[in-house]
Amino acid sequence: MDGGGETARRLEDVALALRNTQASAETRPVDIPRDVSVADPTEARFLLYVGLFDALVDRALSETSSDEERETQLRRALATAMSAESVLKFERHERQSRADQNELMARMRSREIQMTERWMLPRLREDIDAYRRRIDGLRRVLQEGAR
Amino acid sequence: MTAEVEILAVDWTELVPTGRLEPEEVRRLLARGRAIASASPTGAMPEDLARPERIERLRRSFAVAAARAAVHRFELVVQRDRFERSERDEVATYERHLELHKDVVPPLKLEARALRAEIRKLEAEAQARGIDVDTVEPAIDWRNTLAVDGYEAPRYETPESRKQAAVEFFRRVGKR
Repeated sequence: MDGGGETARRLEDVALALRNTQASAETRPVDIPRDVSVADPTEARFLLYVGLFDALVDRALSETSSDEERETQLRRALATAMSAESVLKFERHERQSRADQNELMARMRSREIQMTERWMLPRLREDIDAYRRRIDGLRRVLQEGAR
Repeated sequence: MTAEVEILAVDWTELVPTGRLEPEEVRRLLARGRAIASASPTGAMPEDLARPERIERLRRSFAVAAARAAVHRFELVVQRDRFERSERDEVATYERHLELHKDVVPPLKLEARALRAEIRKLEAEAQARGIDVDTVEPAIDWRNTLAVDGYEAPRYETPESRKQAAVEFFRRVGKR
């Protein structure tokens, strides 16, 4: 049962490696022929990945010696891939929502900071200067009146 | 002319052993992906399925599940900088906002409030001595000043103030 070759074990390892979100962000472009109709890059990426993973299965299964072994390896790889999918789906949703929220908060605060720095603080300082001049004027008049 | 789609370089290394994808191969992979995705089995595996059919079903399910995981990972990895930047920006604007409204604005508003009170006091004193304050220069166009008379500086809690409040609360409760 457990006698799958290196490649068969790799099928499960490849699925397991999908959980590594600290992988390099380096990407490789793949040209999509003009005559292939895909709705958008997201759909094209998904379909390409499906095709590539199925091709990987082809290579992996070609090295196994029995259907029983193929089924065992596929079951393991599928369980690992499904587990990775649900973890990554949750993490993506969570991180994207948090980033959206952080960006919204930062934008709102930035506007308020700019308003305070560019408008309120100069206005307050101008007011304070005017108040001081007025106080000096009033004190001067009071002192002159007292003489 | 062709469109372009990106996949992670680590996936490329793992899934494209030849290191090259000719247009015809891309066409074939996409067609294969589309056929599998459109006929992707759902639900539990029927018990009476023969082994070759089970294997076929398993391989389709695997390709789709792994592709979904890969797409999620792609987004998580390529957006990693954005996620980190959004955290940093949120913290930086929070700190600057707090600094302004805790350390910069309140002292100025309190100073303005005190000066306005001082003006009112001096004007009342001048009026009491029969001086027409409207003739005293420089005058102030009050409509164009910021209203700060009712301003109170916000009180920000610190870990120490929270601790002290908790101690005082339990002291009061204990007296009953």
